[in-house]
Amino acid sequence: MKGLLYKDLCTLTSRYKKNFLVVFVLYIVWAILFDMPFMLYALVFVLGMYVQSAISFDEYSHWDMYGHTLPVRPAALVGSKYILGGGAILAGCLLAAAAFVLSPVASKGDSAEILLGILSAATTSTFYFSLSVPLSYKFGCDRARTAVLLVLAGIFCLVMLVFTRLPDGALDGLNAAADASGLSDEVLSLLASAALAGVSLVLFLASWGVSTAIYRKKEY
Amino acid sequence: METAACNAVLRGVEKRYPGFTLGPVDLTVPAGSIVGLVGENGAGKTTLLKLLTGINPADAGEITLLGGAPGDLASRADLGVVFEDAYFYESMTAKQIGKSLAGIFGGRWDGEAYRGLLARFGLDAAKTVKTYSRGMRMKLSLATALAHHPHLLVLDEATAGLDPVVRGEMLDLFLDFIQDESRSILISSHITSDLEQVADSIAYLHRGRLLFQEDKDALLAEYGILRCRQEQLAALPERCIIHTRRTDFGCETLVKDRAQVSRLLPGAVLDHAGIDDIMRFYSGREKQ
Repeated sequence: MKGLLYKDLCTLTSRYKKNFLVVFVLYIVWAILFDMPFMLYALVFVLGMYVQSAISFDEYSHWDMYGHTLPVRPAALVGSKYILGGGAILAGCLLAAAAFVLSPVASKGDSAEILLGILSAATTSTFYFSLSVPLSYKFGCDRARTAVLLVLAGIFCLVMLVFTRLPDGALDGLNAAADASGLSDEVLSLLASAALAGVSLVLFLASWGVSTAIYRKKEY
Repeated sequence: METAACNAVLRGVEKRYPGFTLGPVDLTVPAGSIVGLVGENGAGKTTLLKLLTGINPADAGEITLLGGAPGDLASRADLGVVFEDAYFYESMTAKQIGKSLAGIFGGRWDGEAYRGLLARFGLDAAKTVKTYSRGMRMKLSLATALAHHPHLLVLDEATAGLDPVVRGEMLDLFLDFIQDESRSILISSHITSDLEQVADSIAYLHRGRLLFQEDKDALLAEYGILRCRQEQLAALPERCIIHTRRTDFGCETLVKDRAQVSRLLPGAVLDHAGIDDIMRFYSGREKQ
């Protein structure tokens, strides 16, 4: 596993080191100059996206095929991408938090709001990663981009469909329960975000399993 | 061939694709030998090597790789593979690749041997793969395939596109490799002159079917190109005639059992047949 992680780290840093430094500085400057603190949350997403490129590098250099001849289980071969992806999202969270603390945009929101923003960014990034990695293994990285867009559009349509079909007052019970809990909106938002983060983690692990099954059956 | 003395055995192996079927193939790679796999483009050589190395599963048949199945980690740890395409991302250096593979192969990886091979091949470990020529990339692939001291080396067109000097170096290395008689090499190549130099046996794959696997020396001694008139062929038993090409000047025939053909047609011209000739005539027979 450490050899696989090392390979991906070498590939990604050699390819994206300068690119990331530019993006990092640009996002911070953008957040400060244009008073757009949410740009710092985007750092979480960007780091997660870089890791997905490791799959396309494998594909490009035929490493994915070669990997089948190495003394490594498919779960570990695929797992290295998930460990790196999870690590990158976590690093993105820490980086975004540090950027908030050290930059003047920190004054624009309290710590709970920043935490909520970072948590939401991590959840979105984890969800996207969990969706796109199996599709990349299944269809190849180029076609996976289209597949991800189609799946996201499908999910959006489904959610819209459900909400438009809900009878009037269907969410009243939920609102009443929130009121009855006596918790502030801020705490409730944090709890909801934490729950969504939990769901994204479960999806992340399920995605690992699905990607492994796809990789194991993939033919070249 | 005793299975116990073989590093790879394929029995009735089949792989079906739309428009192409490989097999059933029976092939053995004895320990201490180099088996040359020849065949036209699209004959199924790479498909066969992918099945053997566990990249793709076979649809039927049985594959024994280094005493286990192609998917067994122990078998893979004892296998070295070089395919025609390099498989390391071009921004990596040879040093980084070695470190990565050391992490993958663990205790089996011999860093000193790897560095020695890089030095022997004249590869600068600090340079990235993208700065290497094709020949250098193939040498790098070979160094990575050898540094964990495998017992079976599977090479797919590993010498293709290389100049004669580099090819010569690689062939020398192959011969060094099998000095240990527990090791063997299965090599596919279109450069039959390379195989004539180093292979112990030749397996000929044609349109997905293995037409023969024979000892190379026996093959080259046994087959011949007979040039004679059409009516003279009637003097030969059917089993001696593989395929005949008719020209305005007579017949050109690939014959088996040169000694008997010489006895039966003492006045006819009978030349040695190379692997290329044998392939060409077998291919012609199959088309017919």
